[in-house]
Amino acid sequence: MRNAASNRLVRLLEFAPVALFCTVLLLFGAQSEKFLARDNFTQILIQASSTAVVAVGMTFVLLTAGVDLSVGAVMFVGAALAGKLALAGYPLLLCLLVMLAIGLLAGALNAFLVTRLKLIAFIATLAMLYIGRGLGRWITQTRAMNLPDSFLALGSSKWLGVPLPLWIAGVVVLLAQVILSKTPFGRQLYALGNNLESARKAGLRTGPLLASVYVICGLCAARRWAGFSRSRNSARSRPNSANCTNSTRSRPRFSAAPAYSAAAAVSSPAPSLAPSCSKPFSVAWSSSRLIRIFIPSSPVASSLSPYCSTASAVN
Amino acid sequence: MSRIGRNRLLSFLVSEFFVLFLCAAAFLIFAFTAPGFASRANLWNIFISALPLLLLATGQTVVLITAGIDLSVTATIGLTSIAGALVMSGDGGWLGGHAVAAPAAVAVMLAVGALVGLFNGASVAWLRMPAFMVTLTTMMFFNGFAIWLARKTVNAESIYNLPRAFLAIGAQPWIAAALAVAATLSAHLLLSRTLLGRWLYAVGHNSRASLVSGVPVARVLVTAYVISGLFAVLASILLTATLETASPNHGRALLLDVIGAAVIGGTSLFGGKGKVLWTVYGVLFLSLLGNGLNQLNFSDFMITIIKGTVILLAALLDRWRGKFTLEL
Repeated sequence: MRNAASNRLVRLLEFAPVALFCTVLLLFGAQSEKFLARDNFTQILIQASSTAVVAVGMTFVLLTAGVDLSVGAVMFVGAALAGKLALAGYPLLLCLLVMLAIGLLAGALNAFLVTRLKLIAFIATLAMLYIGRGLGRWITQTRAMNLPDSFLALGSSKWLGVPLPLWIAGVVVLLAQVILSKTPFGRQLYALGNNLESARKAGLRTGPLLASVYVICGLCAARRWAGFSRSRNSARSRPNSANCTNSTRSRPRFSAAPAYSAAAAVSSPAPSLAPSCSKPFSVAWSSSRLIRIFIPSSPVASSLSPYCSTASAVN
Repeated sequence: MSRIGRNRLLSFLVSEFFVLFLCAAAFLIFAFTAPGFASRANLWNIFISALPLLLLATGQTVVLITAGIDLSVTATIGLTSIAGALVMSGDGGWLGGHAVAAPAAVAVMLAVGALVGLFNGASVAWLRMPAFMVTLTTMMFFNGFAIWLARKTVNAESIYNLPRAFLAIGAQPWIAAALAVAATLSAHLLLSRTLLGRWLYAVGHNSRASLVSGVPVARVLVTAYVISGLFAVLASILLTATLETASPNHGRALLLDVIGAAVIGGTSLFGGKGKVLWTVYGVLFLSLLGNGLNQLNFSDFMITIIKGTVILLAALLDRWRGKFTLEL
């Protein structure tokens, strides 16, 4: 009897993120009429889509009991470089490819450090975060870039009435869900996260597996920008001294790596830095506004940045 | 004979003084390449500006040893800085101009820091929440709360006009140095000489086994976070007094360095392993590196890149050192 009750409780807890999501929806919907309006909702979804993509990537890493602190810095470098290229008049496609390549490269580097050189993921990605942040600031010279119109048009473009960033996020989330739940690769990831040693003894090639998650994460980080920078008017970098004094209005911004791990971790009852049973779907739930909803005003929002990202986007 | 000598040299290199050895190497390199680096004024400058980082990293070490992490330390600095100023500032502070303003403010700061630590610790120990998530959330919350508090009460983010008695801590570097050194020393003694210290290691090493052996695990965990909060307050006092301003943004940029210093020193993120002395080496290393690169006129972004690379190299060397120790 008691067992059944606790089972029910556990099943209920699995829906905690969804419940939280609905509570937030109702609470804010009751507070303000504009919150549930269609325009605002589209805006929220577009903003959340970029977080969702990175959180999906982070889910892969967290599943293996690792962490990738460098995602923010990777996005920064990718955006900065692509922005420079776009301003120099290179074709759009090339810029996007460069962004993806940066993500792939950073992910591969992280993977190399963690799997080959056997460094702790925290330290390796922390170092990458420093390096990426420095590189990004060097590329942008901490100045804002006004991207050309053709670049920006992509962000506001729609396909079948749905904004492009949403398409990207949707495809990524769906793809990740299928990979994790339907493929041997996904199952092997869970096994590896549960117990590295026994996974190895069971004959799994832990090295390549582990490496793949960092590559996926890096790729997602890059892709995030591909979806994100287009929906903004300018990519602006900001020195990390975090002077949030000059902004009183709410503005979209980059959140930090921990926030992504949080987005990924909030979705599951299991500890964030330990292997968990999270699914990309729940990540999508939580990342669509859950984290941000609690920090709607700009001072708090930009206060997130000390940890990781130095880039910020302004309308 | 020579072989014994060589082995002895090698075992020194792979000993716990390894990071200290790296510090010496960095010092020598900078002393020869950067003019003015080895001057007395600059060395004193390095020492004084490293004090907040030293305090934070020491507090962090205590938490890391219990297999936790405290990301909220920088937010605690901002919050207590504002809270203290609201008590003692001449610009509309609660006790502004009163004789006991400074001691009362320090007491309030310590209380607030301890409360933040208590909240973190209670969430981790009793509610069994992961430390990373708890302290990440408190970091966001208190960061925003400090800014809101400052805006609400004085309609600005920085609060000036602090009492002279409080500013003396910053004006007389000896006071700040003595304070930081005494705090670090007491943390060292706590970890190495007391029962609580043993318990901290035990909990970090294997919390289940320690619970079975009768260690009050929850209380030990809470204590660790409270200690971290108190050390953050000390750092906040130093920063506020040195800059003669209270601001929610103090120490913002330090968080990475704090965890970096502790981990470079050799403290394990998985708990049970770490020493205050190691953290001191880590802090020394990062401070020497930052200052030396500055003296060489590297730009800010180059310093960040080089810092990242050096952290990576230190971790690699540490890795090889571990392998080497096994072979020895």
